[in-house]
Amino acid sequence: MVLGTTGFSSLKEMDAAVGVAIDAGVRGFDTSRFYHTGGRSTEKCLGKVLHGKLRSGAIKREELFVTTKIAIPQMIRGGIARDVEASARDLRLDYIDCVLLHWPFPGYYISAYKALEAVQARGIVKTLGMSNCRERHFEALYQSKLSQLPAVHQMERHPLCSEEDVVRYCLDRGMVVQAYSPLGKMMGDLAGNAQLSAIAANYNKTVAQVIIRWHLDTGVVPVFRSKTPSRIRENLDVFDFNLSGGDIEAIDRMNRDHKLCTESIRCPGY
Amino acid sequence: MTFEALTAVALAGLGGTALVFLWLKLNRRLKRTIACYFRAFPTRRTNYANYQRNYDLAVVGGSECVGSVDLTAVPDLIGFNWGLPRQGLRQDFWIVKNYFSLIRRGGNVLLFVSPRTLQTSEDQSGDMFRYSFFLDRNFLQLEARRGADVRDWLLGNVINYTRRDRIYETAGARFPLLYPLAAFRLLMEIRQERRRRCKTALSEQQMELVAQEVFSNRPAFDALESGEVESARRANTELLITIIAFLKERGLNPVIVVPPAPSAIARRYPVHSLNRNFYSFLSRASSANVTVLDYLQTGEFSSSSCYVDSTTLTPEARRLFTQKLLKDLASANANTGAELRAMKEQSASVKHSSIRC
Repeated sequence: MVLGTTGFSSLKEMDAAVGVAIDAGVRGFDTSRFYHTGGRSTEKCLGKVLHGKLRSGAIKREELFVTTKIAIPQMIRGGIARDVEASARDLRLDYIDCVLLHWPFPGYYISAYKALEAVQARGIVKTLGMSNCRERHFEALYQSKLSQLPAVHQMERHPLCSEEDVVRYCLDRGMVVQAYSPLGKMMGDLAGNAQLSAIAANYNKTVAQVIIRWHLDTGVVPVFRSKTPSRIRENLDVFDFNLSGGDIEAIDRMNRDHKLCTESIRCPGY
Repeated sequence: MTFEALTAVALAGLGGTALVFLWLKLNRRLKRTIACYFRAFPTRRTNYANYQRNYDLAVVGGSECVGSVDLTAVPDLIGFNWGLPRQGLRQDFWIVKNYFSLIRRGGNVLLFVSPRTLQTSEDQSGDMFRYSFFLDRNFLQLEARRGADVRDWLLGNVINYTRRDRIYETAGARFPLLYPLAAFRLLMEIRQERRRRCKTALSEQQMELVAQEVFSNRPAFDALESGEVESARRANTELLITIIAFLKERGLNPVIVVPPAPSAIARRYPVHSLNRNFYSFLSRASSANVTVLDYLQTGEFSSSSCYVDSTTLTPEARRLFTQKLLKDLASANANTGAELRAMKEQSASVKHSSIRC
């Protein structure tokens, strides 16, 4: 499980959430150079928080998995190596576990990925990945003679947008699939869904827990975000049950391609 | 300071304040007018959580597209009219690039292409002002540049890239009166559109005069000597091919629609010129298994009583045309559906087996 770090309003809030997450067993943290926390860089805030946890012994470095991202302006501007080094400095880490390209911006993402390969060769980054891609983006990457194929793919996924094709494609190629907005921001159609509520009642869990379990049971790692300690704990209390095949299929059938993050508007020409 | 000097300063201050107040008021009025005009287009500030998705189809094109399609005539379909007056193929492409994710998988994108569309020279960069109200500004900046110029522009905007982007976007969006000439042109367009909706159908004589004016103001359609027009046709054909490939790659169904025209306009295209200067290019663009719905030659909507000007149908004619267009589209899709499904299945199996990682 991964805790996303976008949307915190202050360092204190982030510190509390990360503390609860670590205590509950979370070791993955997701950020980006372009996120902000209370007007400050989220990477710097997360760096400060994690540094404190490492120093206090709450967690060891080798257990942590920190992901950051390269945004479209950075891809266009160039200087990826400089940005990754700056991210590592701000995160107060000797190396970053994973760097993703935030969007496959046409005309720039392949060269940006190759620049990341060079950074990885220097040991500043352990794993490379992509975000918000489709099969055709991966195929374009494969055709451009990479030395290191993407190991991680982060995408929007929730019951109303299950992206079965892309998930299967990535899993077949050995990629770790991460889902952001895993709860679909608990839209009305999810929070009040009768079928989900019935499934949840069967397992004596909440709808959110059932959805998170659905992700895990279909081989996907949810990247959830919450500021509320009780919600964080609730979201992590999902390892004492598994969904049946029938329940998984029922949730799969809820798909209606409803994307919260509209690709073509975030990444014109996508 | 003397009393007179003080009075002068006070009056100047009052005058200045009044001017600023008036400017802000005018700016606010202008913003509202523009927002209303482009209300159908989502922007980066739109709350997408509740925004309509999975449109069945979108129509995109210039004046003919705006003037001949009324999607309220087909309430069973969720459609989006992305046409704007004077819009060329390049701007069609901008809009398609920004909004195609709102269309459902397998949805249709109807590209309105008239003989004049292919002929028009693609130098509409001065029109970016109106698109900046709903398209991403940096996207437009990049689109306006080619090759080395892109890198030069980027290098010139390297420092504080996103902050500059935010300032530029905020200034342009909040104070459109900072660009008075462009704002004036846009206001004239809005005024023209509003007036067009109130017009009544033309008589044959009136349409004849309109047709004479249309053809006298633009390069001759069969100007074989005009290298510029010929190169514009080639460039537009390549662009159309690019748009079609773009849509197909994203799982959408592009359809070319040749809009109807009043007979006074249609007969001014000599047949041999129409074949040479339009249909030959169109067949090249549509060669990749693209449906073409041609209403220029059918004569169904050729009477001047269907038109309020050279490109705009009357409200009733628009409804009838839209219903006919979508009925023809459904037939065309039904005919190609079985073939396309077979092609899709075949290509999926080939893809899967050919990839090695």
